[in-house]
Amino acid sequence: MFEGVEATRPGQKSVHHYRSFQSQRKIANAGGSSLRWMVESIAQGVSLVKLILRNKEYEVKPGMTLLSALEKINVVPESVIATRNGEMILDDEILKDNDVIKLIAVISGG
Amino acid sequence: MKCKKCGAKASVNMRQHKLALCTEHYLEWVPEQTERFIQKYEMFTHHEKILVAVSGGKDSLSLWDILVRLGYQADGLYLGLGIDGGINYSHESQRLAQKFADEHNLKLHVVDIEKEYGQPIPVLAEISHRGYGKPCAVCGLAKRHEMNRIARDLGYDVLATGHNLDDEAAVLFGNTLSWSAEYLLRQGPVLPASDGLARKVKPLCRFYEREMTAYCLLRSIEYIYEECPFAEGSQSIYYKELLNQLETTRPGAKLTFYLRFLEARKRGDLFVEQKLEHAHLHACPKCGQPTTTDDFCSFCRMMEKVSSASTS
Repeated sequence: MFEGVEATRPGQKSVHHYRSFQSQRKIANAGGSSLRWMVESIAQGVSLVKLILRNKEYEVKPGMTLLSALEKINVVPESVIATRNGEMILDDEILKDNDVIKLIAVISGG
Repeated sequence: MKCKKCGAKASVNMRQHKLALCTEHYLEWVPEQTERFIQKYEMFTHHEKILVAVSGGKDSLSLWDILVRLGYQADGLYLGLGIDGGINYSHESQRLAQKFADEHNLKLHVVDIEKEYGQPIPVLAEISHRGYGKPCAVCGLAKRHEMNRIARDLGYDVLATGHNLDDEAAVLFGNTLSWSAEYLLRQGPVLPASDGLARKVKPLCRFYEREMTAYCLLRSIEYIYEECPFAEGSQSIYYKELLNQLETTRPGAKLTFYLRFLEARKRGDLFVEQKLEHAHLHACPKCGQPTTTDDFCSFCRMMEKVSSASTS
């Protein structure tokens, strides 16, 4: 549905798990339980939710809302629109196993 | 979240209005609101000819689409700036503007800066040494000059641009930080026509940037997603990001910031309006467009410099 508006900036894709500055503190405070969960999940073959913004990819746990996921990866919700399978989704949408969420940056100008 | 009008699944949630709408009702709501703003700020009528400045981006293409849906006589103007940046930026944006015009059977005027003035924008900036190593100042100056020239030369009543609320709030924020009184007094949804200057209007000035992106996506309008290569790290983008952080925790903050400013300006609460009278305009001896200087306007001075550098 949204062909032609996805990120096309050249460059190697890098995967950023949700260990951003804020989350790193949370992980530290929680004694590393989130990190352990992720390692265990990968070992057990549990799926993650993938979020893609321009040339960056992030992964979060399924079962959280879009708003929580954006907070986890330090993306300002006002600055993006999220789509799943070409359909726009809102902040309260629960993200499920294997979801691929494309985040469309809305800020432009110079 | 449900659509407030029909109860179907909502596609867009506008927290500042406490309003969520489904695709169908959102695509009805945007033109209705635009018409309301056009009338509220007395921008233009259905009898007037409108020239829409089209960049190939989401805002200008949305504006053109909305005006045509509302039945206005709106033609497009695309300015070829000659920006490549390794992504064919100008070429791609022109292709998308032309594609939209062709698909909707609309008239698009195309003006190429390099053909008109001998050099593309980045080279003009380099030669004229304006803008601290970036061509953005020259780009803005050339766009304002050319849009005004063409609107007047081709007999349009009004020039419409796709500035949204985030654009306006970012400019307002910047001008407030530096207390640029003269700029603050000039900012608004309508800049009336005066000697040599076409009327300029911003019909999207009360829509968030996010809403215009949503409109484009839901209308399946193909727009240039890539940022101008020179816009990266710009001040206006930085201000927009700051304001969006504020908006996330205080929904409606951007809208209130802009609307309260317009109200205060209208009441004359901000500054002494008489200051504007000191800004006497003169006709540039070369191009005839109004300028605050007694000699050539900024654009013609820049072009003089470019000509001198090219011949030396």
